[in-house]
Amino acid sequence: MMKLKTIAGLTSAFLLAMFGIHSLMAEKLVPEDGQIAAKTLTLDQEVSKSKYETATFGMG
Amino acid sequence: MLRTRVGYCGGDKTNPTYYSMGDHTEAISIDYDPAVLSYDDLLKHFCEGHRCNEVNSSIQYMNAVFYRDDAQKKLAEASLAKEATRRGIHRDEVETKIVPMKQFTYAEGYHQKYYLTRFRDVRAFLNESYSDAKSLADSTVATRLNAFLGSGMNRDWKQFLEELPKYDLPDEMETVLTKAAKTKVK
Repeated sequence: MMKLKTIAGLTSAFLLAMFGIHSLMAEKLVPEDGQIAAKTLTLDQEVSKSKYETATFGMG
Repeated sequence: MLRTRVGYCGGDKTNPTYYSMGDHTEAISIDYDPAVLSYDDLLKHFCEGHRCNEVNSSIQYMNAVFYRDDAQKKLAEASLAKEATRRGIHRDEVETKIVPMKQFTYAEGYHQKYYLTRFRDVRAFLNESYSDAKSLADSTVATRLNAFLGSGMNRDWKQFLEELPKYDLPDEMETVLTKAAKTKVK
């Protein structure tokens, strides 16, 4: 009985740790904000100054 | 076309991710120069590029126009009606949705510029220049390289050769890509 409790406890602890690690490692996603972030490369710098409009589609 | 990016939109769930998308749809967002290309042009390409009478399999994978304002909504409605006529079907048979975009959330970095994952050196160079998903997604250089090096498109290799020097790629990488593109120029 004691052995079962130990296994269950260890499994729960492992799963919690994995979940915690996954949450900490998860990439923080950002919403669109109208600002163009790419400005390192010359062409990106130039294009980031251009006037633009945006279209959005879902493509099954 | 200036930039493309992929992400999640249309739903109400806060902070969607690929593994927890909730009621959002996987979508592509396209920045374009309105002096060169119109929203109507893009709608036409979108309509011709998918079967609008096909039933959507899920909210995650849905054919949809996500409008940002009333003007886009009206153009989308007109465009889908026109597409129905072109296909010889009734407007009611069109399954493609026209829905408000609400908020667009950038997808994870590994989903952005997906074709470039097959070109490790190019991808590594871009990752050095842009370490987060948003800046990589917002890069015109990454967008152009993804389109030219990806598959399934008609590519103008002469145009690629003209553009390549503007990409700021390392000399060796530019030489390899120039050589490869030259073999494809007819």
